[in-house]
Amino acid sequence: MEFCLNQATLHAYLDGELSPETLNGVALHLAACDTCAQAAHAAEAELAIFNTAFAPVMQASVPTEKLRARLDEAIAEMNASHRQSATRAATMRVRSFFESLVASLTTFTPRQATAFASLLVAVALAVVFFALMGAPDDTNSSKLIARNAETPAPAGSATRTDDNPARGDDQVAVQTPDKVVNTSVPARNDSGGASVANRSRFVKAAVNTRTQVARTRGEGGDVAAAPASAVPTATASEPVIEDEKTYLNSIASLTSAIEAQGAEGMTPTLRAEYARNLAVVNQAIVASRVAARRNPQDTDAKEFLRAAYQNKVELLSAVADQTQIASGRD
Amino acid sequence: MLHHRAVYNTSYALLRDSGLAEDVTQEVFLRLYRQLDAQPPANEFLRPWLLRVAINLSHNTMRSRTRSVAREEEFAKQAVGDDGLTAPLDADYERRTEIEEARRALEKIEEPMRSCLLLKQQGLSYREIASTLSINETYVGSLVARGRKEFARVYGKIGGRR
Repeated sequence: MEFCLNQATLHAYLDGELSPETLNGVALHLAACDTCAQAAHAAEAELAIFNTAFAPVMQASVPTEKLRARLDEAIAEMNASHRQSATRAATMRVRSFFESLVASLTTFTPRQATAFASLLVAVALAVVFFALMGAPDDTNSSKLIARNAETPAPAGSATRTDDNPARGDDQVAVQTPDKVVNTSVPARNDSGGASVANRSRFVKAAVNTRTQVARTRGEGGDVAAAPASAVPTATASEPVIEDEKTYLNSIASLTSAIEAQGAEGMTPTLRAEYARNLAVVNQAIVASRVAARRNPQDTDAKEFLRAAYQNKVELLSAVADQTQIASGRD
Repeated sequence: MLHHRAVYNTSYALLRDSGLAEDVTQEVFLRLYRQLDAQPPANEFLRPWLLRVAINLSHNTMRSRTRSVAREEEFAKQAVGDDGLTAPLDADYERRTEIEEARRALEKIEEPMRSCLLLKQQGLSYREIASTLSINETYVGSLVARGRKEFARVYGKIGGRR
């Protein structure tokens, strides 16, 4: 090494901090350079002074057991305080939550008041909606009550309710004409969804058949006991279906025509059949009209009312024809 | 050397009070205990980390200490003796006197040379000293050399043995 060593290198050399390459160079230089060798000796003396001065410090007894005990105790205290602080923090969180909740309940801002009012309106609307959704059930039970209370069983229909025991309650009130047909025309399609035209045709055939049978049997009856004008339409204040007025006009004209021909023109059997079928049809009209009025949204009820009117028109037409033929024969 | 010995000796060398050194040692290891959950120092940096915390805590303690200084300085005066003859001459007393002289001399050394000397005395390498004191490693040799020279001068003035 050409250049002399500095103090840092000399102390690093004494502390063993030099790399092997540098260490060899330093050793060679110290062997060749007296100045650096003396400096190295001086550095070594300084290191010896320091080590000697601190030898008692390094040899001093360290209170290991005492330190260990103190440290264990301090760690135990620290953990205990952490647990307490964690519990306290949790309690504070819960308390602050309830305090904020109470504060938010007692101090309403305009925005919160609006939101609360909106919520109340929504709840009220929901209640009304569900109440309306439950209304059809009430209507159905009302139909039953109406049928039982307002529709006394006619004399000739004592067995009719047993004809189709499986039918629903909704249909019972408006099925009376069909059941009349069933007793007379067993081949009829009994489905509740039969068209009005089919139903009219069956009613017409039934009336004709019954009229002829009654005529051959020679049974008597009193047409005046069940006049055609005694229709339940008298109780109607306003039309339930759109063409109700048309039906009523037709019924009125047919009734007047029959009455014009006179009850005398009819045989007692025809009069009896006419009175009985007219009562049945009237009952059907009353029942279906009550059902249709109680639930205006029920299109089926309106259809049944229309069919009942149609049946009555057909019945009256058939009777009018019979009376005309009879009067012509006479 | 065990870590707690290095920590205690370093603190003791700086504070010149065994009670305070115990306090500092306890606090150093408590901080290590708390640090274990978060980001514990790697094994190779454990001793530098412990000694760095010990030095910092000792410095903080030195700034606030009052009673211990007065007590130790009074003891030093008695140890040296105003007339040099009144002090008792038992072995333990002599050893305590030597320790006190070394600490008084070390107290005269400026930072970071003082910490370099202490850490080197505790067996740390230059690299570990640089890591502990957050200084460049190439400066450690120079700081150590200057610190030793200064310590020898001060220690000689105080009357320490050569």
